[in-house]
Amino acid sequence: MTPGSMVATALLLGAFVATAGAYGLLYCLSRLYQGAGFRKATRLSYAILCTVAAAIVLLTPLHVWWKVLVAASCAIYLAIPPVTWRYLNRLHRGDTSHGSQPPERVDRNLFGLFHRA
Amino acid sequence: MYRAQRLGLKYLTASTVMFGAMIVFGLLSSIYYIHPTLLLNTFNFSSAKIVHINGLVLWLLMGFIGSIYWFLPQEVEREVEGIGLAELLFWVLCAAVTVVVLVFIFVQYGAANERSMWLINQGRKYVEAPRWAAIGVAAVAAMFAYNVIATAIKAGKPTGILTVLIADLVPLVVLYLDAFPEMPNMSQDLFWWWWLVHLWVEATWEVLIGCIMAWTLMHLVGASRKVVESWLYVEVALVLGTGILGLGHHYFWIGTPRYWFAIGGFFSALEPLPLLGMVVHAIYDAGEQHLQVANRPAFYWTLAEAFGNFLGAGVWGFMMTLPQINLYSHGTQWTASHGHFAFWGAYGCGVIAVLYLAIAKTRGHEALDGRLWKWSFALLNAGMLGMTGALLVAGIDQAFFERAIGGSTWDAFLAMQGRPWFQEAMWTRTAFGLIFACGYAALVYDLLMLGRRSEVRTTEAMAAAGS
Repeated sequence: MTPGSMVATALLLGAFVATAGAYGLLYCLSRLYQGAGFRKATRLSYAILCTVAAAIVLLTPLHVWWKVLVAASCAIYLAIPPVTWRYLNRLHRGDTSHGSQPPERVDRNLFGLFHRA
Repeated sequence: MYRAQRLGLKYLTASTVMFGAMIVFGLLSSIYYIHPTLLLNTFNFSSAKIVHINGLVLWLLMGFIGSIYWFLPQEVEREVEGIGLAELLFWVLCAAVTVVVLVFIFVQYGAANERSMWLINQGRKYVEAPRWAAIGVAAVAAMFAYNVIATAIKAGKPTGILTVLIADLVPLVVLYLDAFPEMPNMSQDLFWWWWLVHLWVEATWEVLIGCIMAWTLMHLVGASRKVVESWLYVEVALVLGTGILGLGHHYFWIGTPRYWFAIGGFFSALEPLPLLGMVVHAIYDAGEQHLQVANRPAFYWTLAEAFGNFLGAGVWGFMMTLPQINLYSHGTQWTASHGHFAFWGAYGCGVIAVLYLAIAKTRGHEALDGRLWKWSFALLNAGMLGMTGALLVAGIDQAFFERAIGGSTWDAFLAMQGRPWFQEAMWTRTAFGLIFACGYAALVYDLLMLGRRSEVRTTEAMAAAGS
């Protein structure tokens, strides 16, 4: 690993998690506000996340197992926001004691991530 | 109001004072990088750093203890068991902290013997308090654990949050005892020392703040017990599942076997995953409340906790956690950047949220808004972002030139201190540190004046939004 590639790899790893956060944020906003713009931005952010993951896999001198881990994380990040959202919706739907309503209906289809159920 | 809640407020007040002391000594520590001869042989960098870091540990720990004393009697609807002794120990702890700080400032260090260890400095990084004070801290922690456990037993009301809290208090106390034994073999010594440092911060403290945030959400937005407890179980399982063996990232370079590379790297890489879940939860709650919560400062600080934790621990941590990067980054300003941001996000913001919640309720203002808290919120977070950004630049520069090119030699270290990027980053860090200090001043003023200014709105509509 050269000094330059060390810095580039670290920045890519940081960008990887930051983009995952942006994807999670935009996913939530798209569920809250149901705007087409947010849905597009969500897709775009996940595409960027995949691109950053691909760059880490293809361009960095990390050991192959770390690359596998990054690729697997990229897939897991896709699922975390919808799964969490669905879990929270289910929790809130099952509980009416505090009178609150879930901010949005449940998305039953994990892989139909960008489509309303 | 219960006596335990009054004690909680005292702890929260002491925590805020320690927060200020930490900032003062943090600013002083930052100036040494710009003027290395400042107070040379009078009050050296190492002494300022000791007070800064021990101040950090204490302000957060006092904040946690204060928060729990505040919420606990409301949870079990009775006074806390052994409250008289707990009140006495609070004053003993305050007196001990004052004496230790004075010793750190005026005595600083002594000969390498037992007397120095007992009376001046224990010599254990991050837990430098002399042995007598360390035993005192352990006694306070044990008494606190007794208060919570005995109260839960007496109340006969083992709620989910309380059960998780009790399960967490046992390792919290036991791990602190790890601060005492020292071993002549440095690898062995560091191996166990990291159990205290890492497992406190990334395991037991995470669970503590999880319990505190669960109570905060119940009191702040009226979240139901069932919802917060279900979420707490999931979060605790995920955080502990990744955080405990994430300990391995501290074992890369201390002489432990090679398998720690795989264990530490793997579990550290998983650590951001539950943090993303927390961000989703925070936005869900914000959406559910349409950002219309009666106590707005507490709510925004709760949101800041989720985002700050993700950025500081998740993004900043993942940048430098894999062994191939960590070889160059560990022990540089890069680590300091991650440490500052992660502590602030994961814990600092949470304690401030409870401060606003507790003080507003104490003064009879369920609904709260105004301008000053926004200034404080903006200055503190902008200051932290600026400091961590500057430290990140300095750290990357250090990893690149001093470590990767310079080969971590003494000459490379000295040359690094004079590099323009490093120097400019240090100036920037100090400037943003001053901004952070202004935010602290605004926070303290706001908390002191809370309920006494016209900006505080207590309309029925806002109160209704929080109920």
